[in-house]
Amino acid sequence: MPGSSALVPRATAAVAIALALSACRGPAHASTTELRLTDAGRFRVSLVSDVEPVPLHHIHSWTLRVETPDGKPVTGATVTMAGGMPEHSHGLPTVPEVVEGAAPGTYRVEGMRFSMPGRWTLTPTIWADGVRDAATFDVVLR
Amino acid sequence: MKKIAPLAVPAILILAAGALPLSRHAHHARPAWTKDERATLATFALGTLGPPPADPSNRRADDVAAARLGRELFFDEELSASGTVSCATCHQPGKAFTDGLPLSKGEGTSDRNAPSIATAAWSSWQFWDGRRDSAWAQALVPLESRAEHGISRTDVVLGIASRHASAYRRIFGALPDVTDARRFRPGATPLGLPAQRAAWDAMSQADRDAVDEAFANAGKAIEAYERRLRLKPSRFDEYVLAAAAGRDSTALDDAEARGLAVFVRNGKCVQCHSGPLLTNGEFHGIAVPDAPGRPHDAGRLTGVVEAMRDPFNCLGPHSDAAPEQCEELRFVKAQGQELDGAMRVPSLRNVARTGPYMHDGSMATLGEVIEHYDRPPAAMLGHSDLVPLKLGEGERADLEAFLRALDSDVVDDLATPAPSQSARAHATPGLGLIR
Repeated sequence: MPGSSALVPRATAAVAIALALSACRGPAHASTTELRLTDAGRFRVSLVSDVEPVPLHHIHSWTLRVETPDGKPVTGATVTMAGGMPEHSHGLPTVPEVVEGAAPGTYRVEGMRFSMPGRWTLTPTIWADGVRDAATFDVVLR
Repeated sequence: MKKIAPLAVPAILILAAGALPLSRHAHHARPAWTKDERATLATFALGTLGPPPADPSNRRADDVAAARLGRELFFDEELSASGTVSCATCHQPGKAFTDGLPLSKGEGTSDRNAPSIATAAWSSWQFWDGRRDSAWAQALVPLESRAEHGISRTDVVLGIASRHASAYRRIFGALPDVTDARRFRPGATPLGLPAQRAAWDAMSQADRDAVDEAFANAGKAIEAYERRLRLKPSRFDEYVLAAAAGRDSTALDDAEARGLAVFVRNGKCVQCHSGPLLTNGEFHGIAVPDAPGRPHDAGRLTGVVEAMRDPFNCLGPHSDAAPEQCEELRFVKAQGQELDGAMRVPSLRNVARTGPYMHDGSMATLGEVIEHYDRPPAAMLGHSDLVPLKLGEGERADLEAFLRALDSDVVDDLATPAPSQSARAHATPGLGLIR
C-alpha cells in the first residue's frame, strides 16, 4: 500500500496520543484526526469518536469524514465498519451501522462498543462513485 | 587475607541486589503499583457502579410497589408444578443468589449452573448464552421450563389471580378474567408439550394476548425486585480506594494483595473481568470442554438468535421501549465463529460463594478454575481467548486468596415484611442483610 505508510504512523500516533491524553485528563474537547488517504488512494478519510474520552463498554457513535483526494466532500457513499483487536484475534463486539450525516461528507457510525482496553483497529470500507476503498485506524484505549 | 578486598564490597552489594525479589515469580511483601495500575484499580471500586442502567422496556422497572409484588412472586413456591419451587430455590439469598449446585434442580435438573442474580440488573443480556435481553424476559423462562418451575404462563396468571390479585391490579390494572376455565385452561402455553400447545391454540387471540401481557407484567415485577439488590463494599473495595490514592491498606493481606497484582498483570484477568462488577458484560469463549455424553453447548451462537426472536424482547409488543431505544438488539453481533461456545463473562463479586463454576458447573473449586486459565485447553469449536499464563504455584495460591476477598453482602431493602402482610409458612427472610 504505497503512499499511506508515512501517514499511518502519524495518524496512529495522533489518535493514540489524543485518546491517551483525554483518558488521563477526563472529558476533553473532541480532537480531530488528520485526514489521510485510503489504502488505494481513492478517498481521504478521518474517524473521530463522538464521545471523549472514548468510553469502554458503552454503545456510542463515531463520525467518519469522506472526501476526494483533492478535498471535495463525498456524499451518498455506502460505508461498513469492521475491526477488532489483532492481539486477541477477535472482532468488534457489535455490528455498527453507518448512516449519512447532516453535513456533506460525514457519516455517523452508530453502535460502536469497545469491550476491553488495548489496541483496536477500525476499518471503514467506502463504496462511492463506482469505487471501493478502505482505511485502517489504530485506536489505543486505556 | 582477612581484609575484604575493596572491590568485593560493591560486588557483595550487587549480589545482594540480585537476590532481591525482582523476578515475576518471586514474592514481594506487597505490590507497588504504577500510576497506570492505580488508575485501573480505581475502576474496580464499587462506588463507581451507580444504580442499574435504565430499562426502557419495563416502565415499572424502578417502581417500589412493582418490586414488592416481584419479591412476593420471587419467593412464591406455588408458582411451580409441585408447589415447592420458587425463583429462590435456585437463587438463594443466603448463597449470593445461587444454589451451590453444578446444575440447578427445580422440578427436574437443569442443564446450566445458576448465575447469581444479585448483579443481573447491570447486565444487558441474561443467561450464560445471552438468550434474553432483559431481566424481565429472563424471569419468564424458568417458569415454563419443565426442569425448573414446570408450569405454563396461564398457570402463572391463574396464580397471580388467586394470590396476588390486588397488588397486581394496583400496579398493572385489570387482570384477564381467568375464572372462566373454558377460555383460560391451566397448562396452556405455546412453548410446551403438544397438549399444552393445543390448549394454547384453542384460546382466542385476544385471550392469548391478555395472558402474554399479564405474564410479561409478572416478569417486570420480578425485575423491579431484582433491580433493588445492592452489594455492600468488600475488603477489596477498601483496598482499591486506598491504592488509587497512592496509599497501602491492610484491607487485603499480603497474599490477597499479591493475588490482585496477578489479576491485573500476568494473569490478564482484568481484560475481561473489569470494572466494579469485574465483568465487561461481553461473551467470550474459554474452551470449557463439553461434558462427555452431552451435546455441544454453542452458547451465544444460538443464544443470540433466540434473543432476537423472543416475543418478549425490547422490540416486541410487550416492551415499553421505543424501537430506537433498543440499542443492544439493533447492533447485536449475531454471526462469527467466536460466538460458538462463547458465554457471558460472569461478575466475580462473591465468586467464592457462587461455586461450582462455569456454565455447566463443571469446575467445583476456584483452584480448578485457575488451573484452567493457567493451562488452557485448545477450543474444539469456536475460539478461545485464553493463552497459557505460566503462573508459579505461589501466584496461583495468591490469586485464589484474592478472589476470596471479593465477598460482598447483598442487601435486599424490601426484606423486612410490611406490617400488613401475614406470616406465611415459607416466610421470606426477615433480615435486611443477606449473607
